[in-house]
Amino acid sequence: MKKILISSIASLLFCGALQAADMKELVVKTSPEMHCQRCENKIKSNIRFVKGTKKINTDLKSQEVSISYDAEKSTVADFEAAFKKIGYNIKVVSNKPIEKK
Amino acid sequence: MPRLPHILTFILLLIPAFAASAQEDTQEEMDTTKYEDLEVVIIKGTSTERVKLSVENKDVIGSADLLRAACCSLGESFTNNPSVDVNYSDATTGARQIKLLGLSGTYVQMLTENVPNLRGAAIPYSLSYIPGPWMQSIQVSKGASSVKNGPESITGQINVEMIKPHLQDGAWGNIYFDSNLKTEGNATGAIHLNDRLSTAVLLHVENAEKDHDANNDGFMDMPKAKQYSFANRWAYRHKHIFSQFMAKALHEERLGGQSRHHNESMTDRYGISLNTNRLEGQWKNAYMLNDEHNTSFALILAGQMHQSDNSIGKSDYDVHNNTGYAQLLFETDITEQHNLAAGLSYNYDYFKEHIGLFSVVTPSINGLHRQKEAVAGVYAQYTFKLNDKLTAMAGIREDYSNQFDAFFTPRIHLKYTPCDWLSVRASSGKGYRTAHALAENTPLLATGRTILIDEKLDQEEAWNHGVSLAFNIPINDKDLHLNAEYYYTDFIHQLIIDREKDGVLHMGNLNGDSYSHTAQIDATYPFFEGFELTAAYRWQTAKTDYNGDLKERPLTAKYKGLLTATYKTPMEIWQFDVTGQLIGPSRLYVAVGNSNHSKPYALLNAQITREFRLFSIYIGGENLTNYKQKDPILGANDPLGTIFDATQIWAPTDGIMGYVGIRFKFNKY
Repeated sequence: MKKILISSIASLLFCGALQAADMKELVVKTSPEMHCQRCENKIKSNIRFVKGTKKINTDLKSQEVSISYDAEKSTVADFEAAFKKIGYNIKVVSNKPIEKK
Repeated sequence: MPRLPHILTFILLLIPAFAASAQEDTQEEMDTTKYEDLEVVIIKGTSTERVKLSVENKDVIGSADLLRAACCSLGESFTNNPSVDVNYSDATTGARQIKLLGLSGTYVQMLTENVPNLRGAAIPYSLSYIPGPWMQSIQVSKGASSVKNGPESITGQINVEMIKPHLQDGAWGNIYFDSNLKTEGNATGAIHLNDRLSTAVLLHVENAEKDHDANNDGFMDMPKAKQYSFANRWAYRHKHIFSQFMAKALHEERLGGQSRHHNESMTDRYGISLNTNRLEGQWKNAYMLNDEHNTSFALILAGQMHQSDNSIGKSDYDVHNNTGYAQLLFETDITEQHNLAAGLSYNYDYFKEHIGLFSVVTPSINGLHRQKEAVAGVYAQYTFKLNDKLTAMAGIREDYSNQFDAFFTPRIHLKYTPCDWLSVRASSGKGYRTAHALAENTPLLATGRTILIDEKLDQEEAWNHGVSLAFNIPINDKDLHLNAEYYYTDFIHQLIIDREKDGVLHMGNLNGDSYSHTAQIDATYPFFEGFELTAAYRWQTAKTDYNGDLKERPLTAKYKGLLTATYKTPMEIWQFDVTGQLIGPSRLYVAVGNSNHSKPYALLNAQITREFRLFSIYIGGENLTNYKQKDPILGANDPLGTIFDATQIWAPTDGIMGYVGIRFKFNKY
């Protein structure tokens, strides 16, 4: 119970931090394309270490990777470099601020 | 004993057209290749989960779950699993044994990559023979299992899938250090030589050099241990051919007994020296005849050479156990609904034992003994699947042993899914195994009791029947996984280890009844993103006739409660794991104080992991409640007396332990 309480408080603080941050959603296409779940895992397990990354979604169908990140901590160039490290070039589809609710 | 379940089994066997493939069941959670008999599986959901489509009641401990605890070896991989218990066999040798359905680990068939392994003389210390970082996943099947792997499974099967060269490309490793001064290192590398051929090398080194006697009974709490092991794997796949080869070598030394710290001047020290050398090889080949019907042939060849020289106090026991195994199998989907598997198997076991026991009644026990057993078998397994509603699998096998003549093994599994949120499973089946009194129970020699072994031991034979209900109940857009199960095991013939009489350890044939009942309920729910909680409670009772007196099997806890929680931060950079266990009382064969039952106790483990791009650091603690069995060695002050016994172990013998480790990963994609 105590753990749940602590975790809940931590989640609230985390949400609060998100509100304060300059959150953006970056959508990119990769070259080479993602072929399978292994490619998705490779991207997710590496890009998560770019500072300020909060969420990564990959979609094989649309061949798009969506990344929610804190723009005060990282830039698109940081993501380009991170993708390059694992053998991908990226083409930015959009990079829009996430509207605060 | 009630025979109704046995009759029901035969009635069920007569019902035609009930069967289902044991392999196809795992497809929802796993990406299984077409070579299903080789069980090449990639775990997608990498934490522990029940395989939804499986006709068997099967848990998969995935790679993520193996990282939730220290997991230095196979024996430490079940910390978060409610079904499998791992206990120390004695207070001196560091041997651990599995318990499943309230019964000894000898009744669980151990498999590596679906090939029988870790049998016979390897059993006592087998849980330390597979390093944690070498494992990709573990599948725990409860109750009667498929007949494909032989007749030896009685309470279930535990299959260990190791790191596979064709599914990995890169290098990994870890270094581990704990407060018991145990150091461990693992290195693993896999490379794809070309599109068809890949290979992997796995290395393991461990060293525990601490001579510590916290309870001042004069004996080391844990033995000093060194282990070196090496494995090399190869995989070849091209069009319709898939072949996998694995060779493994292991050397282990354990030194224990009376601590030199307290017995420096002692000339007649009670020492324990265990030296093991082991070689393993397995080669699996599959040829796909028809992709559309998954029609395939497979040939599996395996062999193990196990040499163990044991000196326990004044007793010496050296055993050489060589095993050869071959299986030829054919499998096809006749239609989408009907699957047929059939095969031939051959197993050869050779035991050479040099026995020099300190205290025996029958002098003929001591000396050189040789035993050879060849078992040839034929089996067929028919499966039926009606949409996703009904799955059934019925298997029969007939084996012939040069020791025990012919024996017949029927097994049946049913799974009925009336709706999305409920699956009902039932299983019933028979199992047989050849018991090797000393080879499989070497740690029991850490006793001053006179050892008595029956001249002719029966082949162990038992029925197992079980039923389980698995619910997936949607609550707040998340599924509550709730499982309730009951298993009954009834022995017809069994090797009984009888320590009921003072001063005597009798290993002999069952004369009367022996059975176990186990009921378990467990629930898992992801309360919020990244946080998952599992709660489980198991009740069990196992009774055996000891000289006409039906008694609880000693050292079998009446209940076990488990609560395990894991929390991962959104990008899984941090992970926090906590596991608590409540272990119920067990009957003691020698009363301690005024009680012939142990006290219930609680254990707590915790670990924190921080992920980095190329490595992760983990820090944790085991037995954080610091619960230790008081005076685990009976008569410790007189190791040559008949009261001396280090095998009445029902709780940890060493206390709180902290550890830290680092894992490296250099994946090539």
